Amino acid sequence: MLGTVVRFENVGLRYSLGPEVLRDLYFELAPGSFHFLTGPSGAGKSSLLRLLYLACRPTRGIISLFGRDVATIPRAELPALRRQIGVVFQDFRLLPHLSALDNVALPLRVAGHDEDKVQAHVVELLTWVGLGDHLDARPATLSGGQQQRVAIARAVITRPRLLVADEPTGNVDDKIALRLMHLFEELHRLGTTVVVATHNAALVERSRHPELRLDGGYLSRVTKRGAA
Amino acid sequence: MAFVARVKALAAPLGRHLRPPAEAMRAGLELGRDEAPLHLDWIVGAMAFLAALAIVGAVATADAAAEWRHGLTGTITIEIAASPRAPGDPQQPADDRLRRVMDVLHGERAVERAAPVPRARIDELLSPWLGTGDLIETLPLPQLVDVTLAPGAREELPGLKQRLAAAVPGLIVDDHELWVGQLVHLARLAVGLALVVVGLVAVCAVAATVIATRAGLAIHHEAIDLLHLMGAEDEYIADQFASQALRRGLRGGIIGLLLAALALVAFGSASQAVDPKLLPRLWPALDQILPLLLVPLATATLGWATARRTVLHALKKMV
Repeated sequence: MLGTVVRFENVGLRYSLGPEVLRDLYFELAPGSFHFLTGPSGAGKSSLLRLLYLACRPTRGIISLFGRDVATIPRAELPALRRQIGVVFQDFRLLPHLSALDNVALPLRVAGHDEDKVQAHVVELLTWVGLGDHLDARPATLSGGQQQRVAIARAVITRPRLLVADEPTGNVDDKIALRLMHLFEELHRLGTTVVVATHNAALVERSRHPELRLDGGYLSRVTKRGAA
Repeated sequence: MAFVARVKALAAPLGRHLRPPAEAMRAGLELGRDEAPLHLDWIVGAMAFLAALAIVGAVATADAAAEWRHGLTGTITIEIAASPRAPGDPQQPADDRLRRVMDVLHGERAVERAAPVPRARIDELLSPWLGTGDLIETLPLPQLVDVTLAPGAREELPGLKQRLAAAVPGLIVDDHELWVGQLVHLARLAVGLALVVVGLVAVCAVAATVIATRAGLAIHHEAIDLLHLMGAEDEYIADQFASQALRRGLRGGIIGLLLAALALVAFGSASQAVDPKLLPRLWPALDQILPLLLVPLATATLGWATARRTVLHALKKMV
């Protein structure tokens, strides 16, 4: 449906022959919205995010992304759709043989951007997240927090329409967490739809943004006073 | 300038595939390190070595057969049976049948040269079997005439045979057709076998590349998954494997070619010690082995195409 970035209708997900980890999900995300995804461990947050960034398909129900039913999109058109989605993985998934600069540049290279512009944009962004002195550092030589910032920079470098982040502030101190949240807010203001999965209750409390809460595979929406 | 730009445009894809490994890795996959135990370069090198030897063998055989054929098809041998000797005159020559044969031959356009084989030469040819004593001198031996045909005159041979038979009934004209036919058949068989060897070597090289590529896909599946999630098209991933296979195919082809060159030089040196009358020339001319330079290009192209197709086929099964 036009007017929504994400739309889930009666979506369920199970892995192989196991039990359903996500059940009867109905929700929509409007363009430029910002949502937190919360819930206890094992509630299905990562599975829901996997559905959002097209790493798997639902076992039932309909998922629409950017107005298109995911099930009917030809495989050849999936790359173009995926380039509109930025992902911050919980385990970062940085490529160990690449420098911080090359890791962040990868989405731009995949999309075929001009190498000169790639370098300029990546250096600017890495400097902004406080890693200007670590451009050539391999992930193994970076701390957990630094790796997380590289992962976030890689997710936002293409200015995606949808940003999906799994525990993006889990390994950084409060100061850096705040700085990263400002980055997400900035993207949000520029029109990116943001979904941040987190266990950090304080972070959610401080924010005005609505919360999607998963429990036992079921989703409920918690809207705070004054939410966007 | 337009020409230079055109050449650059044509060379760009090749340059992309031949860029240094460190630069190629920036496209996402660290290929070529984890698969080291498979040693694809050396496997392809061994295949290229075998293919090069098979090609040289085929070229040399075809060349030798052509040489034999050319030597034989341009000549015929006329055999005039030994005449019954007059009593009391054992040294009587082969009467005037030789003269009649020579008369016919001298009037033929198809004949470039005709000469009776001297008795001494016949004795020499028979000496390995009959010795050089008196026996051979008393035997009634046929008179032989060596005839060299004019170039392109082979079609006139049936008419010549008829005229010779009319002049001297009972003479035998040996045009070596049976011998040449067997030789050509054998040479074709040898060339066919060499081509089968080249084909089998290519199949083995393809199989090795498929196995190596699948191993690479398994090793790098997490990075491939990540690239897909970033929006990489299958071709983006397949090109990285194909570039790697192209570089390995080129390296392996050059290794195989160098090894084959060494083997051929050694064989050529050894064959020079053999009497050329006993063994035909099995050392091909330089212009005939120049096509071997295409072997590395062939192994590189085969590797590139195989790896690309293998990866694209495998990725189709992924989400």
